[in-house]
Amino acid sequence: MLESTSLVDADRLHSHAGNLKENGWRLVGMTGVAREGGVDLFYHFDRELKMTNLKVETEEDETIPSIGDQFPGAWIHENEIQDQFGIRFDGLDPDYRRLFFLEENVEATPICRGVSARVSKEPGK
Amino acid sequence: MTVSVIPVGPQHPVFLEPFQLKLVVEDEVVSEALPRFGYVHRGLEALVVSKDFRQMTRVAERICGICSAIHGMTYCRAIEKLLGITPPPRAQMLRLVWSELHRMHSHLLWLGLFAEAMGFESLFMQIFRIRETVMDILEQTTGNRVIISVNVIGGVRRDLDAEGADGIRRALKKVAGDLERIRPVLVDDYSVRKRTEEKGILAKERAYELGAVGPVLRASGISQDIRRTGYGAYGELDFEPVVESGGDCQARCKVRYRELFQSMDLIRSGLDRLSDGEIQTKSKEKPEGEILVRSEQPRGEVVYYIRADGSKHLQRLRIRTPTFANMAALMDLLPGLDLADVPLVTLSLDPCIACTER
Amino acid sequence: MGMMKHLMVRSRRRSLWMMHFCLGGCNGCSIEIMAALTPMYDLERFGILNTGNPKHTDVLLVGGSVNHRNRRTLKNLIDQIPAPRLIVAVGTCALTGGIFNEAYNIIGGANRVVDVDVYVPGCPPKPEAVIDGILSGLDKFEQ
Ligand code: SF4
Repeated sequence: MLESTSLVDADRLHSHAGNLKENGWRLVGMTGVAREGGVDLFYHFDRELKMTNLKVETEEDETIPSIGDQFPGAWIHENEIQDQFGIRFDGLDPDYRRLFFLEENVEATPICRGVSARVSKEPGK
Repeated sequence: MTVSVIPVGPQHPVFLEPFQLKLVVEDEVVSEALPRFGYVHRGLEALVVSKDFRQMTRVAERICGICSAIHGMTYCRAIEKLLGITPPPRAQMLRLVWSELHRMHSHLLWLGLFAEAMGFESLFMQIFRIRETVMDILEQTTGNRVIISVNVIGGVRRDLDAEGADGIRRALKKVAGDLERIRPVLVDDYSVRKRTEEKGILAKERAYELGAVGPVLRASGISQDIRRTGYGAYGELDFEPVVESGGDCQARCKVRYRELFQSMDLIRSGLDRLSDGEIQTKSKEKPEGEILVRSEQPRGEVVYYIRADGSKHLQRLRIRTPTFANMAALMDLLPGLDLADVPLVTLSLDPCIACTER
Repeated sequence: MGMMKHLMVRSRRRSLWMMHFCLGGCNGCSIEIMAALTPMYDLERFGILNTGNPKHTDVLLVGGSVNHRNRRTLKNLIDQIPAPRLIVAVGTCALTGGIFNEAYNIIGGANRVVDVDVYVPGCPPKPEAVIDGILSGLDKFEQ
């Protein structure tokens, strides 16, 4: 388990992120880790060289609220995670519809060992 | 007013790497910018499936050639923490020396490209000539010019003898003299200032909010440098982050120029404090656990996330590279610029697409 | 007439324009290509000039491996370069896909898309090797 990580529900994500933002935390990055039946999503934040993390455990093909309205830099992280794992982000702008890094013909992104991740590709509109 | 969409790239003389910017322009002013990535995306994080954790060091170094030593070092530090070993002090200090040399070569490369983007061809050539001195040191001390591959898990692969250390000192003296000589052109020249001042201003609060890192953030007046967390041997040395307040292209240029001198100071005091002893701690264990490790690269903060389950292969390796974080700032900067300034402002953030896409 | 033709062919090999295109590699190779152009190695002393326009190009240097997205870009570029042209693959990535060959988004080396004339191995090759690679392919312009 990572240090200073709190597990939050997807629908409480916004208020947690909002709290962090008010207290001057900066979004450092997001990490997705595939596990059987879903994805562990980590949100990493930093303030004065200290880090804290939020963890959201998602189901397969779940839609998570985007935190792009609170952290304007989040779109790039969220688009990458959309590409590589089965989840979608709600309210993501700009939304590349899983064609951010990958072409339509790339079907599998076996990014984590032991989990056969993929991802029914929804072609871009 | 006519609105048109101009795609810049994927092949464009100013960007070294393929990357596309779709610019919506009204007359000559950009009103919207949309990037298109994926031309360099390899999916190397997925290589953990087929390569074991020691081989992954070599892959981590090849995320990006410009900061490869620091990528390798960060990866090794993460694995070392999971294994519970610490490299010997001599190895730590050597890592610092080579990382700072890499920072110098990266900043000099950037200064050169920046000059070329301004259309200042002879300055570009001069800076690249200076840079070759640094490349020569790297080659003499490690055996390769760009991908130096000195980091191994538990320490470093090569030692540095007294002669090598003297060679570095002598070369740095030469670089410092050469850099002083180009200062009037880079900082005071009328036409350079015309091109760079007040161009692409990133305000302090906005930079922080967008999550910008490294020289971009420091040029906007925020003193943040991950080296201050004192990882490796950085804790033993004393230094202050280089900060400028302008937030424009000129400020970003000055930050990098001054960081070159800072790196030289760090290398010199690192060499002076080099202790005798081993250069590698060996371990036969396999990594297990979850970890998050950060370092300061030439372009800013890099974050490694690793999850391992005690077998030969890691479960997940995730690398958040500095340019990945700076991209949001770039897209925020472009609207409102003249079309002719777009290449220069884009370059002033030092985008490294190989890092961004991995 | 024969004389003129002979002169043209002879002088062509000393006045080439070169372009480099970096694909899905680590960038190390394009740095070394840049270094080959600058005063220390100075490719220009052989009459080779850097350009950014494929229609002006005689020599194309390719660094990095081909992935699903850039393969079309590379094909487009190559189609715009007029014959005779020299295509040099620089670095292990452009030769075979290199260290990234097993990654999910990589197709392989540059020869999956184009006919490569000269292969320069190394990761990255030194600027001397890049220059040597270009020069050893110059005979192609004398045919
Ligand atoms: S051959 Fe090596 S140096 Fe060149 S792009 Fe590939 S990994 Fe980088």
